[in-house]
Amino acid sequence: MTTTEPETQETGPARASASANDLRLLGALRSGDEVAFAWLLDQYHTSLVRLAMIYVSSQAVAEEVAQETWIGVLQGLDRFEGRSSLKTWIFRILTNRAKTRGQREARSVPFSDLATAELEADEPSVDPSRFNPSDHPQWPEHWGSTDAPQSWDAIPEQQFLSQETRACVLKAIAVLPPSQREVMTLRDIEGWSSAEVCGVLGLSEANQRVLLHRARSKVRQALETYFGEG
Amino acid sequence: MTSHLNTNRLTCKEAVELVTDYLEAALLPEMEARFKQHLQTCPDCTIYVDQMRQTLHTLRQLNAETTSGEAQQELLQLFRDWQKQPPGRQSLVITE
Repeated sequence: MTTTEPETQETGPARASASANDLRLLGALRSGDEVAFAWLLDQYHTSLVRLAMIYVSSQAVAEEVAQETWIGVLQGLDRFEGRSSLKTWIFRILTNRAKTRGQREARSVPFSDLATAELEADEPSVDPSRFNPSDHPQWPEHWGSTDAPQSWDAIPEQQFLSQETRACVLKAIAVLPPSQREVMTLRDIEGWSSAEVCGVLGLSEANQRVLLHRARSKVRQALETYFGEG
Repeated sequence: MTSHLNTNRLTCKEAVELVTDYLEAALLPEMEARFKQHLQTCPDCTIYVDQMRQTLHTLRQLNAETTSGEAQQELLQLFRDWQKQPPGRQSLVITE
């Protein structure tokens, strides 16, 4: 691979430019400070792998893509100008690599144009049959008496955090449409800000929120079904 | 989606679609007021919002893994190899 890959250019809307800390880190990396690189690995490597998993077929491939990303980062260090944050830059390299690799594996790849397609369709967050019809005499479009949500407050914390609950949630995430999965992974698992997510995925705040809303609604539903079977 | 004919109040069907905007503090003040007003008089939607918060709590717990020591060493080796490249560094050889 050459050192002129467009992926390392700082394209797209700059949500936040490189911080003073980023620039310090950059300086350290350029002068061969291994501790600085180890810090970056610690911060981001597992997140890179997690995000790569959305685009490729296996954990092993995701690990490879993450490794290639670090190579791309090191090769691009001299050209990084700080117009985006270091984190945004690193993750853009990752998403580009993962999508390319996903394409080579002939998986359907979530490019941001697919987000547009996903956003165009309407998706109610709750099965509409759970609400009264709009001509209900007393409570139109309110929860039907037999279908209202039941409180989870009595569920012990350890059950919320159990392996089984975790598996249920992971399964629900794995079957999300790709754009919803991307947004949920970065916002709700990785804890990124909405600005950071919009920066890396190339979404408007409003669109990002719609995708997040749909993803969260589905995962809530999966948990409701799971707890209801207990 | 039609609002209740007689008042400015939200229906539950409308309210559930606003939950994310609410939790993101993205609702305009007037809509936020209507949403909160709905929660005040609707125990079902209050439960729904709680469930959504509890869902987020569960999601946050998924972020617990760390890189293995072995993987860390392998990645650090990448850095050392990159260091050894001459100035105006050429690409590292990547076996594909």
